[in-house]
Amino acid sequence: MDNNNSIKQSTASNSLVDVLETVLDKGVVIAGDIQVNIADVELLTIKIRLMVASVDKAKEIGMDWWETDPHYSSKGLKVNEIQEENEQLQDRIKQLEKRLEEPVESKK
Amino acid sequence: MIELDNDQLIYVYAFITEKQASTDNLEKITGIDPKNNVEFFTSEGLTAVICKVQSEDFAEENFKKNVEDMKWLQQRAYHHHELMNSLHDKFTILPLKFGTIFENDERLTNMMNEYNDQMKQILTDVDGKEEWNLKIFADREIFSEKVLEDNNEIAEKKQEISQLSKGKQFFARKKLDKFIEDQIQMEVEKKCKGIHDKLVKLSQNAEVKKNWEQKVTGRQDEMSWNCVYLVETGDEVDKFKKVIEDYQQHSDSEKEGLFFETTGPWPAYHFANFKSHSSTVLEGESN
Repeated sequence: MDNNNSIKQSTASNSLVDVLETVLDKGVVIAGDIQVNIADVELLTIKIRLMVASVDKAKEIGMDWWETDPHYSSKGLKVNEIQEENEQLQDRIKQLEKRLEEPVESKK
Repeated sequence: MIELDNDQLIYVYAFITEKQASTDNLEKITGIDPKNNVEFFTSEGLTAVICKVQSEDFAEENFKKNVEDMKWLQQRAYHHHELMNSLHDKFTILPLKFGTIFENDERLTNMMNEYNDQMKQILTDVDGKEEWNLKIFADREIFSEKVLEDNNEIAEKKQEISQLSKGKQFFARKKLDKFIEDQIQMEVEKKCKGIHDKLVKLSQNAEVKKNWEQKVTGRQDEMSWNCVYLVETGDEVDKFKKVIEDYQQHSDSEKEGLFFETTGPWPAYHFANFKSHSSTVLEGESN
């Protein structure tokens, strides 16, 4: 497992959720004349996840990690398996094609 | 003083000391309202980092409506976050939550003077420190296996249940399931608490936050710890990260079923409370 994944730097690439969790947190009480309390970061997170219906959109805002991380998603595991299977099949096809070519050449 | 049009408000990002502000003249940084630049506003030794905004975007009702628009919110929240990070690189800051707005300079001045001592104290407290968030996720299945393995009592009970009549089996199983669940929960909590105690020793302050439900995280494992730590920049942060990395490695090699997610460095958002003292009280603080 890639341990570097466990430390994420706080940069622009942070997921929207990380940023919202931090900059909106209710625990921080301050004294503005106007202070919009955005419902609940958790509700907002659900909203973001619902909104992010397509994978492309999810990738755009960095919300797709659970989809393809093989350690945490059976779907991710499947994607990996399929990829592996695909590569194996491709190899097999190449081998078969080679074999098909060989007898033709030998006849000449 | 700030020249405001009638329909303008003041968006405040952060506070810094006047002394630090005087070392920088903020060269043309675009503010949260792209038409205006970020400015300094100083009163009694404190400087607010501000941007003038239009009330059509930020007056209470309009603002409430705007934050419903995810795209609007995303852009502004990122701007807030990025500007804060760049301030944090240059100054010791008291960061404010997204969307802190004052109606005019008089209101802002009053607030800055009223909380002057507290704010200066916070600026001293957070100087040279940064915030790190740690979330620990636990794979309940792995913990469940471990609990079942380690606990002979459960196997015995299962044996007993199989001897019971059908009707009695149902309730006995339910009771046993509950018992197993509790054991798992205890195991997970014990683990997290142990890690937390170690991290608290490397931190200046910590605030335990609520765990998110699975429908929020979208993950299959369960959020079992969510806490922010205030850590001294430099060696202490390195040690802090090393502790977490070591735990992750240990969990991976021993198949303990824990996953650690750390984000940071953040400006000290959770440790800049100057109104409410109660929410910075620690659970399980040992220093």
